[in-house]
Amino acid sequence: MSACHTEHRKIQSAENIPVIALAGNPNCGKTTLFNLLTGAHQHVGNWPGVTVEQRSGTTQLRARKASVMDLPGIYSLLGGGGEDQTVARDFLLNGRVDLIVNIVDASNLERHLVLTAELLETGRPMILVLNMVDEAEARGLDVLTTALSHSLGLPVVPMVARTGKGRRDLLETLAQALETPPRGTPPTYGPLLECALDALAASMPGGSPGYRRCAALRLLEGHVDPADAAIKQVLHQVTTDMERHGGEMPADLIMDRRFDWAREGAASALRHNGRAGMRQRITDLLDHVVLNDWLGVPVFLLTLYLIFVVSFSGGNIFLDFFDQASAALLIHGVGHVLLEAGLPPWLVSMVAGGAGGGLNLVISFIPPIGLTFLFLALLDDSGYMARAAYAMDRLMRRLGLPGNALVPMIIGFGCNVPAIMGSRIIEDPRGRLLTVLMQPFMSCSARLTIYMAFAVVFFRSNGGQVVFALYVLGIIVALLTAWLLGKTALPGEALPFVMELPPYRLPSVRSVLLQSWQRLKVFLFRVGRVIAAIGVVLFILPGVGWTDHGLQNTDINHSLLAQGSRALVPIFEPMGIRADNWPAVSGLIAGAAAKEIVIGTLNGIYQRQNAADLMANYRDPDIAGQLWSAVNTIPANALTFVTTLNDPLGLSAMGSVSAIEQSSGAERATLRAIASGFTTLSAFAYLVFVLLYVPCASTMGALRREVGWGWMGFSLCYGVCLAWGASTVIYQTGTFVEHPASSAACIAGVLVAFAALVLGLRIHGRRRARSPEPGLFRGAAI
Amino acid sequence: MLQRLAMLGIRRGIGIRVVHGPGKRGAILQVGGARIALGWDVIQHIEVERLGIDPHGTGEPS
Repeated sequence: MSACHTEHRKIQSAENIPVIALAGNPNCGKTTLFNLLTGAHQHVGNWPGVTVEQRSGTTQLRARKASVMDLPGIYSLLGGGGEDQTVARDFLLNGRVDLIVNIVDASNLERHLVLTAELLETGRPMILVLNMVDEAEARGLDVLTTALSHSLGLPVVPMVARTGKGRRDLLETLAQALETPPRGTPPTYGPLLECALDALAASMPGGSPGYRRCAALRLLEGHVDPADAAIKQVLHQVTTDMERHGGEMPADLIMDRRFDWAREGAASALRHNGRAGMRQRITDLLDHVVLNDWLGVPVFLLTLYLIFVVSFSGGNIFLDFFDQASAALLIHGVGHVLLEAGLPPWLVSMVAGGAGGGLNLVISFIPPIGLTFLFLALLDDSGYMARAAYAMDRLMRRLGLPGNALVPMIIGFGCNVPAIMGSRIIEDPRGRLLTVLMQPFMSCSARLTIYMAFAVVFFRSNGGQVVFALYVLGIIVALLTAWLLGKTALPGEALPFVMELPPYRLPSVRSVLLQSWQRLKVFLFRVGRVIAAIGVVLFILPGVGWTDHGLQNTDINHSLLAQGSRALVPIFEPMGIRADNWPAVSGLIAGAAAKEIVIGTLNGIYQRQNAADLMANYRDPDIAGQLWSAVNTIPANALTFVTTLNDPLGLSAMGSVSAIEQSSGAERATLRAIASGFTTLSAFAYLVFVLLYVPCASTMGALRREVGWGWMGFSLCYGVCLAWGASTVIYQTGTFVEHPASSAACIAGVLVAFAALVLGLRIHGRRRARSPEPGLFRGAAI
Repeated sequence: MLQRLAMLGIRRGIGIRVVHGPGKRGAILQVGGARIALGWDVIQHIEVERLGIDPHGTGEPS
């Protein structure tokens, strides 16, 4: 019937160790406390069907171990908030919990105690951690722990979790509480309500008095429906009686009483000493600047600019090291060992060149992505992110997006993967979905290598402007995509902006590093698997081909890659790719896996590098020399970083051919081949296609994880079709005078297809409105 | 929305301090020790009565 009764069925854990759940409002320090208790034992949980992070870990309490669950913050057990809060509520009400550690912010005690009241009513054993007592003192409040403990009937541990102050007391209290579970004193509701609660509790079969009271409260509040006809009748009777006597709804009376109880509890525990601290004045000063009507947006953009510069330009300092060192070990080293072990060359190539090459690609992403996560965690911890969302809200709302949607967009300039994962900061599921679907159109740093190679050949005098135009085009398409989806398939308004602004804090090094590592680990192990697998496929395709004798080793011109690319060329002809330019199509195919390898693929094809002796690198590799060379890239790149701080996009490299070659990785022969394969117009159309179609396999993997297979499939098809349509329209418009009839037909076809897409999206939106899905993110998992 | 505001401490009769706004973006309110940002469309539905200067900056009415 009720959640409380379901909870009564204890689920035996395989390890059979007590489960401690950390519960509290958002931003009360649960995760900090979790890290303090569990050290390095925590891992990211994977709960099916929900898009929230949960962490579990273990802690040692005297002679026994205990499992600690870090739940998402909730304001109430009654409802409200996103999917994450639903999961936390379900776990607290239905999961196996031996002890609740309710963490409250001492500087905002009254509001936090409302949840305490609800938790006490579940009848579960509980202790209270009075966290952030330093911030309460900084606000001029004296904290009276004993009085609060007496008032609640619970052990109360004063703490400053960020510094670890109070940890020893907490561990001792936890050990005691597991031996002698404290239940506390929940609020009482006056004679009328108590009478109704008693009547309802008495009508329920089974369960302890605590569980029955909890169930009765939830029935009176209207949060659960009675399954039993007899209970339904009692509920109807007591509700009618109460309304007749008091004139107010039971739910209102219960809520009012809880707030009164919380106010009385806070008043007993806190005393104003009249000395408002320095922290309050600093908060006022900072808010005066970052929330200022004129300065708010520029301050936010400047902050993001700095993150962008430091993450991606700074990440480049170590990028070559990670790239070259991992190539030396995983490709050449592994290849050498396998060759020495007597494995056949094709297997050596597949494992070392394919899987090793894929892993090498993932590892080379570590510096920029790791730094992005680090700075995001720093921003999260500092308390600024919520203020930035408020500053941007008005602007983004006009496009149907929440204010904080801009943060992932900017991160997307560096890499789309952390941008998609960063969309989790958006509470509203619809807004989060729209934001995720925008990210593939943001020009990531990998696309820049392709832009530059083409820009130096075709747009020498105004290459910077062309590259900048592509960046702007990406932003426009991303915003229009969100607007279009918001008007058709995902109708609705962004949720009204209501957000608690956390206090400013100096970020804790430990907390920031742990948070960043958690996110980076997910990227490395989940996305890395996809890239390694694709690396194997891309390694096989240029080396084998379909012949009269079946599948055989062939030269590249007769390989599957060439055969497949030639077969696809007619599809790309309307956007200006000539029939003999199949390597351009191969580049696009490879680019669907990772944009970083487009130029490398073109290099390989144009120079017939694949025809060379592939085993040469594995026979006698100079691993030590390569590692030393990798180390030497760090100071050289550090110098480049310092000298290019004012050019985060790297556009200054447009000045010289050699700089372009170095930046894009394209060889002179490749540039010459590109020049002969394209016209200026077809090159620009090709770049537009590169901008808009599938960003890379990692991004698709991240999309699937965040929004599920369905929306990932939509994003993939939409991106490819939009890229083809936009490139075709550009090329056909530019060559209209040469073949007006066929150009008009092409352009009309694209426009009709786009209209059909809009119609289809609108129909989908109407169907959704009639029978909404249970969640926007079917199949998504964290 | 009412429940959400209530859970954030914004209830009928509560003392608040306006930190920023109200304006086209909305307003930032200090309620107890917490600062709550409310969008323009939310503050349209909230009526307040001026109580005076809060000497402690705590959001409690003076």
